[in-house]
Amino acid sequence: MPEPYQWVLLCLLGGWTAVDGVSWGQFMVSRPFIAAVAAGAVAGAPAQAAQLGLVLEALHLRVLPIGAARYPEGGPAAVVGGAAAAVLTGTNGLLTAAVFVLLWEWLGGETVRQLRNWNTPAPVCGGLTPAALEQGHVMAIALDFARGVLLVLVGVPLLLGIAVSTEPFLAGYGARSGLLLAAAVAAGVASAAGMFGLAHARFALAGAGLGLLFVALR
Amino acid sequence: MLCAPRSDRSEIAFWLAWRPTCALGAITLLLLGLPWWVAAVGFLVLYNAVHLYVRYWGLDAGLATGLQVGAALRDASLERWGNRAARAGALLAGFATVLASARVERGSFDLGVVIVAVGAGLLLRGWTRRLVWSVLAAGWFAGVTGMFAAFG
Repeated sequence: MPEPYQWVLLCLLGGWTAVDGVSWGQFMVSRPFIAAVAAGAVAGAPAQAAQLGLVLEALHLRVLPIGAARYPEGGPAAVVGGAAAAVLTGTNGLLTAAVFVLLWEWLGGETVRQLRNWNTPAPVCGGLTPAALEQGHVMAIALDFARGVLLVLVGVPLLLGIAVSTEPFLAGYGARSGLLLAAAVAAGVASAAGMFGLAHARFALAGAGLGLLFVALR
Repeated sequence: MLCAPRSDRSEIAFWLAWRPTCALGAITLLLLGLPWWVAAVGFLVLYNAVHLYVRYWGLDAGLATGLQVGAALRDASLERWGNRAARAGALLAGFATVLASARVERGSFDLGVVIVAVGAGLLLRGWTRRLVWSVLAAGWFAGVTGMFAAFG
């Protein structure tokens, strides 16, 4: 389990990635890859966390937080995965983390939806003052931050518990786990090729051609 | 107040073009075997250089033009710039797909897995994530319950 100072940093990171998604900043610290390596750096295993971040990022490419759409939330869930990466060993641990974090992203997205419903104020009778409006904004951002902290506080022990308890059962299946994760990255990146539209398909084909040339020459 | 068509321009330029292009750049760097910090720092610097510039420009334009800010946004080259970013993104997506597939193959895995994975990604698009999660979860469950051992 992380040390107390690591818990503090991970919670702050969870809160930051939660508000970075929509409420404040949008510096893309909340991208799964960035959140995972940042948490991995806090926990002492950034390289292992980056491997998990690669899988999560590839599968998050097509997620568009636009309008009122329901979408999985990548940031705090990736912090959970990155923090656990310090304890997880090999590709089996990464597979467990990937399955858990992808599920945790959906839960995070649902908490975003619930918080938005809760934040929506009732119509004000008698006018809304600028001070009250500002206070409402600050409160909404603070609640969003607290939501991210909570997701990390609950998620890290849960993932570590599942990963440690199932590790013996997965022993010897590292190659299969590696295959599943590598195929997941390939599928995720391939799905992104279509998101730029048919108008840009020729560029995707040109990129694939360059990739084939690169792989052949390497 | 900005009406939807105006805000759509920035959403398309950023969320559908610049953001995935930068993310694909980071993924490509990782697949090329570069250290994690190069990909992370490269992504944050590249994305935020444009993000912060456009924010500054938007605030400046809003303060300077007031209620005419819609016209300023219309005249800005966001659409053209977003198109260029999308072209770069598509190029990177094609390149990274091949690199990711080669990564699967290097582990002496069946070519069929590559074809299925890439084919699923191209055909299922937005549903890819759900399918991949289902496959990962099924694989994990099979491992934990000893199904792999049962099938040799």
